[in-house]
Amino acid sequence: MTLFATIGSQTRDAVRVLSAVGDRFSGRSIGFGMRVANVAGRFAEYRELDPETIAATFYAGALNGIGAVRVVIPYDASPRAVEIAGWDDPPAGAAIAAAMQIFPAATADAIRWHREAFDGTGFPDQLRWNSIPQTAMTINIARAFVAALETHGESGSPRDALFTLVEATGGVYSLSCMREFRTFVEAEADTCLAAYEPRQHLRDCDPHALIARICAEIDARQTRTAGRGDRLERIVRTILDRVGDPQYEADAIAFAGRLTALARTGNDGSADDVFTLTRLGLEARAERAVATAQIVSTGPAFAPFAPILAAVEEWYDGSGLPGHVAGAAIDPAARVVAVAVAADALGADSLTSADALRRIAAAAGTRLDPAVVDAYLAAGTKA
Amino acid sequence: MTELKEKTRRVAGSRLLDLFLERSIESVVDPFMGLPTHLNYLKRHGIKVDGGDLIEWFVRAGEGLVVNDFTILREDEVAAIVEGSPGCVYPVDMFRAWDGVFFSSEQCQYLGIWHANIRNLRSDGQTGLAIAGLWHVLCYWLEKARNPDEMPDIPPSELAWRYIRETERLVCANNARNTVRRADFSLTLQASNAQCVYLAPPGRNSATEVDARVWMWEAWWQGDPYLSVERYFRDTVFGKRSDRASYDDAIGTVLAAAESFPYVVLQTRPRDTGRFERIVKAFRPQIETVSPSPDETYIIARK
Repeated sequence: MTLFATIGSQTRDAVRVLSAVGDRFSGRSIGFGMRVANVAGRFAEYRELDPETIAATFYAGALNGIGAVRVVIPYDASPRAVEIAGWDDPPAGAAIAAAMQIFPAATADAIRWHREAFDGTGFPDQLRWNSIPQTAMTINIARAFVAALETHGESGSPRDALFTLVEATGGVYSLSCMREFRTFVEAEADTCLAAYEPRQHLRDCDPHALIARICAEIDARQTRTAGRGDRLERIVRTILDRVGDPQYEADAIAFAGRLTALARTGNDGSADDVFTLTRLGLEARAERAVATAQIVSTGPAFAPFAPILAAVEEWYDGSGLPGHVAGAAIDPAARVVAVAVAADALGADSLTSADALRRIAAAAGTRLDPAVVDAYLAAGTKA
Repeated sequence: MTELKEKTRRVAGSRLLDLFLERSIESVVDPFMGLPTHLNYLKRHGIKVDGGDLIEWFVRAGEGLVVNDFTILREDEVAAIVEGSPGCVYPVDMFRAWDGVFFSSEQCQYLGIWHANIRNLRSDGQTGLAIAGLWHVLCYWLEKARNPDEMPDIPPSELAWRYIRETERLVCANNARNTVRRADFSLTLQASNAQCVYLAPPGRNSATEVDARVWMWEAWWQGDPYLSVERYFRDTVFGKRSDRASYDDAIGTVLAAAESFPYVVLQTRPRDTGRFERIVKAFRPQIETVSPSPDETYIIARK
């Protein structure tokens, strides 16, 4: 396995993954954020804004839903409470973007205010009229435009989607910005959705650290899973030390363990992986595994992790999901990650829980790979 | 056609919350609050808030957005505000002075109907919510009058329904006794024991250049289409502020009144930052200037 060998310093791929995470948490289809970014970036360029503002608009569009990662909704919240909790998504997204320190300065504020409405009925701050930054208004329009396109489906054209937006001119969208957007769509109807790359580069950073940070944010949503990424890494390394097989690339598999957090949208109090060794909730967990793979696939540099993450819920006896793959046909890294995830979910990380260890041992050969389980248990016994 | 101000000062509750959380500030008083949506945001996030303003509709709206913790408007109550009840005699001529100048006859009649209906509500909280909601209708109409072909035509009662429902979403509790009062800054400050004073002082010419949307709504609330809000400022410390020195003195007076508060946060523009820093420094030696965006500068002074 040479997972990390394919990964260079590709921060933009990390941003694509983060964008997909935002899509997942804000209930949008994967890729929605990047489509918003493409439209917003092209529109900003059409308006002949300066390169830094164009880049800020693009990246803020890409991360428009990322704030939902930090907003934890109470388990028993009413629909109204859920809606109101959602008002904190934009400032949370701004805080996340600002903490990354790689985006142009205006990016965080564009995220903070991209749901504000021209008439003052938006959120979070009920800003009105021209106190809403143009970058934020651009993203709001691009977001609604892409959403309208998705609603219309394949039969819809950009002009149809535009028609939906025009109804909210002067209410949600500023008149001047909508005027320009209409001209933009009319002029560039064929290209307005095409992929776009801003000319201004992002500041240098470690793309893996960016992703690991967002994984930690997601883990922190639940008291039970806070710090899970570090625990998984420890367990994975424990197993691999014991296995001693050079086919396993420890750093990469440890990172894959962290990545399993990417689609975990559960709020604090939910117990969606307590039964990780049983068939109860298997469909939901498999859906999450597939979604995680889909998220990492959006960034080409991270795509090699997708087969591992998609196979985490495959059972060794072939009765798992999504592919009913069995035994050695399951990706070897996925078999290691599956044991680590199960061990962590059962609270066996400290190796003090005899019951957890017994259950993991019992799952060898059905849910889990016996060789990996043996390595884990042997390491525990030795410890 | 009346001129609507292009530039609106950005007062953002989420930004203030960030500043407050970094400094463990748990309560704030804003003696020039305006429409207190920022105080509503702070309240929603657990900060205790007090506010004051001289314009009464701001205060009334504040009773709905800031003081009110639980009262909402039921569907039938919204319906009773937005439409005239059969058999009632309404003062439909009250705003005839605006007919053909700013609004249509139908719109002026609705202004009269709403003026009467809103006074029949059960509580100050409901009245405040309804005022804030209907104000959005006025703003929509003014924008629509400027851009008749670009905004959809929505019947007055439907528009009013929609906007009142929007403001009702802002009702929330933070388990503190929040207050708003119609008072000069000194009274507001005297009545508060908050940790922090937030100042977004009125501009030097704001009495004469007040946004049409603000004075028209005060005129509507008072039932006097000829009202000028300039008179509210005449007897205050900001009354004599035609020159910069008088204005700076007025700011100094406000800072002197805020002396006992541990924190003062003064929001200004980049071009005025140096001048305000000098004024604030005369009262509090420890100042910190934070400028999170090109449009926002905060001078934060500790006691």
